[in-house]
Amino acid sequence: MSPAADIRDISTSVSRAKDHAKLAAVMFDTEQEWSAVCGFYSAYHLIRASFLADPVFDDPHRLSKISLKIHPEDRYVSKHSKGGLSSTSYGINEIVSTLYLEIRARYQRLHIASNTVRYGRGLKAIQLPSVQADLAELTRAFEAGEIICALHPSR
Amino acid sequence: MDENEILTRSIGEHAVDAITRERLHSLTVTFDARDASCTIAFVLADNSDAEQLRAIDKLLDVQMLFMDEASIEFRIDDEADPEEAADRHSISQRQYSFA
Repeated sequence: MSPAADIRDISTSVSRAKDHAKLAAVMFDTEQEWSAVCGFYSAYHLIRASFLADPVFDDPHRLSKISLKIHPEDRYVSKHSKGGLSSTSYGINEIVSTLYLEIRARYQRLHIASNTVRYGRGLKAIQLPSVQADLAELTRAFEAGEIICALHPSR
Repeated sequence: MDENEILTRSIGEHAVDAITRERLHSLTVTFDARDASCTIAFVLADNSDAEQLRAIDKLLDVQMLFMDEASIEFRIDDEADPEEAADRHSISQRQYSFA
C-alpha cells in the first residue's frame, strides 16, 4: 500500500492539509512560487477528507445515478487522475470534477499551478494571489461543510 | 488525416467552442499517441482570475467527454511568454492550434 493510500481517516487528512497550508502561508508571504505546490497538496488532503466524510459514497444507488464510473470504494482513492486508457478507475481529479461542481475549477487550477512550478517554467499566467485565493476558498468550503455531494439533491 | 489527428482536432474544436473564440487568444492541443496523453494549453484574451476559472470549468467538461480516448491535462500560458510544446516534431504527436 502506498503512503498516500495509508490515510483513511478524516483527522489525519485534515492534519496533513493544515501542515501543507502552514508552509504555503510562509512561502506566500515571501512570494515563493513553491507555495503553489504546498497549497495544492493542502487542498488535496482537504478533498481526501471530504471524500471520507461524504455520505454519497455510502449510497451505491445514488452514486450510480451520478456516474457509473464512481464506486463506494473510490472514497479511498489517492491517485490524482485516472491515468492511461488502460485504467478504468477514476482519480481524485475526475471525482471532484463530477461530484463537486462548485469547487472543481479552483481545485484544478491549484493542480495546474503545482504542475507548472514542478515541471514547467514556473508561474506566469497563474498568479500567486489566485493560488492563495483558491486554497482559501477550498479551506472555507471544507470547514463550512460545503464539500459534500449529498447537499445538492440534483446530483 | 489519421485517427489520432481526427481525435486531436476534435478535442481542440470542443475546447475552443467550450471557452468560446472571443475569450481566447490562442489554444493548442498536443496529443501523444504513445500513451494517449494530451495537453490543452491556452492563452486567454482576458487573463483575469474569473476568466481563468470559467475557462477551466468549461474545459473540465471537455476532459470528461474524451475520458475514454485521451488523458487530458491543462496548461495556462502567458501571452508574452508562451511555452513551446515539447517534442513538437515527434512522430507520435499530433497537434491542433487555434489563434
